[in-house]
Amino acid sequence: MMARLLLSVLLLPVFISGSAAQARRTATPGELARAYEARRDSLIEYFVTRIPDDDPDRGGYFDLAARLYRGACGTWCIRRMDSLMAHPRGDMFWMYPFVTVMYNDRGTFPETTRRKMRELWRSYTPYRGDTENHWALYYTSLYLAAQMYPGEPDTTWFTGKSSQENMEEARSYLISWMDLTTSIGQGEYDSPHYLRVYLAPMALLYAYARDPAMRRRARMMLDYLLADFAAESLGGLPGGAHSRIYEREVIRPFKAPGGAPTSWLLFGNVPFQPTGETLILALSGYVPPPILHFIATDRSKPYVHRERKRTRHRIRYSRVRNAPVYKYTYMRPEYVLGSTQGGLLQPIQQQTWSLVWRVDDPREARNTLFSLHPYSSPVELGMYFAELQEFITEIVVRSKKAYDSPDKLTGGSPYEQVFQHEDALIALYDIPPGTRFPHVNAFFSGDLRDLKEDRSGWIFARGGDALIAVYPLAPFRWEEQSDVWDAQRKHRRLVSPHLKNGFVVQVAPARAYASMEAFREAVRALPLTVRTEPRPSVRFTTLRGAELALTYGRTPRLDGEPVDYDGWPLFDGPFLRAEKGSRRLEMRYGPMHRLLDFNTLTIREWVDDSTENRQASDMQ
Amino acid sequence: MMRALPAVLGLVFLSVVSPERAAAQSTAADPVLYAGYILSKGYVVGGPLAESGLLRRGPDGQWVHLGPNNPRVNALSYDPARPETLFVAAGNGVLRSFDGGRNWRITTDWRVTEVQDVSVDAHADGFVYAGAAYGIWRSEDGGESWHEAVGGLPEGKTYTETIEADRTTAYRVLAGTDDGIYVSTDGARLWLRVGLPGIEVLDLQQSRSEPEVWLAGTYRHGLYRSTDGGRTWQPGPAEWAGHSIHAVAIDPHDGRRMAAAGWDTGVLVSTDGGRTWSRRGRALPTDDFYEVAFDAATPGRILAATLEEGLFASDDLGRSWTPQGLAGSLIFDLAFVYPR
Repeated sequence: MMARLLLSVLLLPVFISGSAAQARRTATPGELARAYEARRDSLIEYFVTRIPDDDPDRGGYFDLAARLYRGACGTWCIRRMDSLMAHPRGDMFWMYPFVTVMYNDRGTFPETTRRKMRELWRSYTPYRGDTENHWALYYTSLYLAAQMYPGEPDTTWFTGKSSQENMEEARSYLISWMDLTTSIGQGEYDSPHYLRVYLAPMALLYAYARDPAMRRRARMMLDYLLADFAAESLGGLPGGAHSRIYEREVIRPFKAPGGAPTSWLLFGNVPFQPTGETLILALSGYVPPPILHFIATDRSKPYVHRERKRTRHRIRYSRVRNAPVYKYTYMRPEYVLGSTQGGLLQPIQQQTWSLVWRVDDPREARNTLFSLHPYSSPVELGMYFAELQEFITEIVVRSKKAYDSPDKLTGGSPYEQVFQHEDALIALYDIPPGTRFPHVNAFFSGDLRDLKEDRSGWIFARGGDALIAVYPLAPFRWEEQSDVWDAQRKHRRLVSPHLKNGFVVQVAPARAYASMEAFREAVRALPLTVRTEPRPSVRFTTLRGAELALTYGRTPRLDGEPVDYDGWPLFDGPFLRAEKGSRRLEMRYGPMHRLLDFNTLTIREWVDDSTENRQASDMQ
Repeated sequence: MMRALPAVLGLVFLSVVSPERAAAQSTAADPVLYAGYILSKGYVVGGPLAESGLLRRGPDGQWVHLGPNNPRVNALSYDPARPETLFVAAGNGVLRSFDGGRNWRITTDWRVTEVQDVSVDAHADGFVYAGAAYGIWRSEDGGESWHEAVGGLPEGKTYTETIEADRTTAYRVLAGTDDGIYVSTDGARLWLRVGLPGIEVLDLQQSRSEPEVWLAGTYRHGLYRSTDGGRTWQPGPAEWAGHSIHAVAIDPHDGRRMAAAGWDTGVLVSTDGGRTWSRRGRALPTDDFYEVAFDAATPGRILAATLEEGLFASDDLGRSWTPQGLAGSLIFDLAFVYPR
C-alpha cells in the first residue's frame, strides 16, 4: 500500500535514522537547517568584513548589500554607493546586484542617494543581451525595479515604458522561460559557470516579489535548478556534460563559480568559495528542503540519471529552434561519467562528455578527463548569434579567447557523436577534409597516476579511486602543456590528427579490482571491434557485460537494440523524474517525495511508507 | 584584410570634419545623416559600456549622440510624413522616437529581439516592418503593437537581416532572409520567394530615381541586381561572386551610380547602373566594410564605414578618401532622413 503522509519535522528524523546507511543520512532537518544557517551567516559575514571601513575605493554592490542586510553600513556605504553609481556599467550584470542593494536598503541611504538610484533606471540603458542568463537577469531586475517604483510614467524608465508595462513584460517573459524550462529543458543547461546567474535571479524574486504567485514560482524554480544540479554533482563538483564551461574551469572543476560555491552554501560538502550570487541566495531567506541535501550528498549507491535539455535558440543553419539534447550521467561514489549525444548543442563552450573523479580536497585538483574536436567555425557562431558571419569569430574571440585555438579544451563539434552506457562510453569523430583544426584533443590531467600505454592499444590510468581505460581509434601523439592556473604544473594532451577517429572509455571503481594490473587484464579481455573506414565504428562489450555499438552518423545500439531518443524523459533517475512537456518534477529520496507542479503552482511532499526504492541497488 | 593604418588611428569618434567645410557641404534643409554605431574595439557584452547608439550629423559636420547609449542600433527608418518620428532596429527591440531622437520607447516586448532592420511603409499609414533574428514583425499602428509576420517563410528559415518597404507602392515590401529574397504585396501578411534560395541576403536597397532597380548584397555569394522591382535577380560581377557584400547603395541623385562593400572587397563602384563594377578604396586602412552609402546631401559622395577604422568620404567615386571620424567603431547603418 502506498500510504502517503505529509512530511513533517517529526516524521523525517524517524525515517532518516531508521534507514541510515551513512553518517550524513542521520542528519535531521533541524541539524541540516542549523548547519545551513551557519554557512549562510559566515558567507554574509565574509562580505560584511571584506572591505575595511577606511577603504572607500574598493567594494561592490554585493559588499554593500551584505552590510545593508546586517545594518552594518555607516558612511562607507553611502560614499561607496555614490561612487559606484557615478559610472554604471555591465548591462544586466549591473542590474541584479543593484536591485539587491535596492531591496536591502531599508532606510539606510539618505534621500539624495536614493534619488540617484531611481534616476539610474531612466538614464542608464542596459543591454538585454542575447543569452538565456542575460534575459533571466534583465527581466528579474526590471520586474523588481518596477515593483519598487510602481505607478511611474514611461518617461522615468530607460525602456520608455511605464512601471506597469515593464512589470507586465518582465512577468510574461519570466513565466514563459519557466514554462519552457520545465517542459523541454533549459537551453543553458547544467553550466558549472552560469548556474549561479539563474539561481541569483530566482532568489531575488523569491525574496522580494510581492506577488505570492511569482514568489512561489521562484521558490519552485530554485528547487528545480538545484535538484538538477544536485543529481549530477559529486562532492559538490558538477560532472559529465555541460552547456557552457570555460577553459580554466574545465580542467579544474572546483573553480567553476556556479558549482562548488553553490554546493558549499546549500550542502556544505565542498570547501568554501565566496561569490556574489551565493550571497544573494544567502540573503534571500531560501532554505533548501532536506531532500535536496540528500540527493546532492548521498552517493552510497551508483545510479544512472538521464535528462532532456534543449539547444539555445538557433537562428541559422537549422530548421529547429530548440533541438533536443539527450544527457546521460552515471554516478557512483568514486566518479561521475556523463555525456550528451554530441553535435553542436551550444556555441563556443560546450562540453560533450567528461569524467570527474572524487578527491578528498578538490581545491587544487585537476580531477577530470575528456576529449573533443576543437571545432571553430562561423557556421557554429552564425547558428546562434545574429552577427555578420565574416566578423563573428573575431568578436567572439575578444571575450572567449580560446575559441579559435587548435589547443582548446571546450566546445562542441558537428563531427562528434557520443554514446554512453553506465561507466563506458564511445566518442567518435568523422571530420571532413578541409575542416579548420582537423584533429582531436583529449585532456589527461597531471593528477593521473599509473598512466601507461598498453600494447593492446589501451591507455590505462588511475584518477583517485577511478580506474580508467581509454582506447584511441587512431594514432596519436602526446603534447605536454602548462596548466593555465600554474605554469609549473603540466598536463598531457593527447592529439590525434586523423580525421576518422574516436575513443572508447571504460571506467571502474578501484575497489572492484585487486590491483591496477587486474583491471588492465580485465579490460584487455573485453570484446572490442574497431574500424575507422568508411566511417568510424565501434562494437564494445563493457566490464558490466553490456554490448555497445556505435557507427558514426547512426543510432547507437545497446545489446542490439537502438537507443530510444524519442522517448527520452525530461528527468529520469532514482532521485528525479519528469516527463517531457509535463511542467512537473518529482524528487525522490528513499520514501521521501517532493513534487513541484508548475501547472498548479504547488509543492507537495510526502513520505511513502512502502519499501519501494528506485535507487539502483543492482548497479554495484 | 586590414592594412597599416594611416593617421586616423585612435578612438576619435565625435567629429573630424572641419566645421567650415562641413557647413559648405550641408545645410539645415538637406537630408540629415544618422549613424547607428558602437565604439566596438574591446567591447564585450557585460563589460564596461562602450559609446554606442545613434549619432546625427549636424549642419556643421559634427556628430551628435542622440538618446540612450544603446549598444546595438542596427538600422534606422523614419516616417516621411513626420520626419521627427524615427524607428531604430536594436538589440533590445524596435525603438521609436517622436522627437527626432531625444526620447525613445522600446515598442516591442521580449518576443522581438536582435532586430536587424526596420522600414516604414511611406504609403501605408502606420505600417512598419522589422526584420529580426527570429523572423519578421509587422506593426499596423505606427509601432504601438507588433505582430509576427512570417507567413510563407519556411519554418526555421526566418532569419531576416534586411527589410525594405517599396517606396512607390503601399504594402509592398522586400525581405532578405537566410534563404533568399522574399516579397510581400499585402503588408507582410504573406511572403513569396523571388530569388536567391539558400543564400543569406545581407542588404537590400532600392533606387530613389529608378524605383524598379534594386541591389542586394549576400553572404559569400556576391552582389545581385534587379531591374523589375525585385521580381527577378541577376548576379553581379563574377569576380566578387564568392565574397560577402555587407552593404549596397544607389546614389539618390543619379541612379547609375552604385556602390557596394563587404569583407575583403574594398569599395566596389559602378557608374553604369550596375552593369560593370570597379574596385576602389585601396588607400583606405582596411578592405573590410560594414556599411556604404551615398551622401544624400552631397551628390556623388560615397560614404564608406570600415570595420572599426572609421568612416570615410569620397567625392571622386572612390579614388580618394577623407576621414569622417568614428574610428574604432562599427557603423551598422548610415541613413538619411529627408525633411518634409
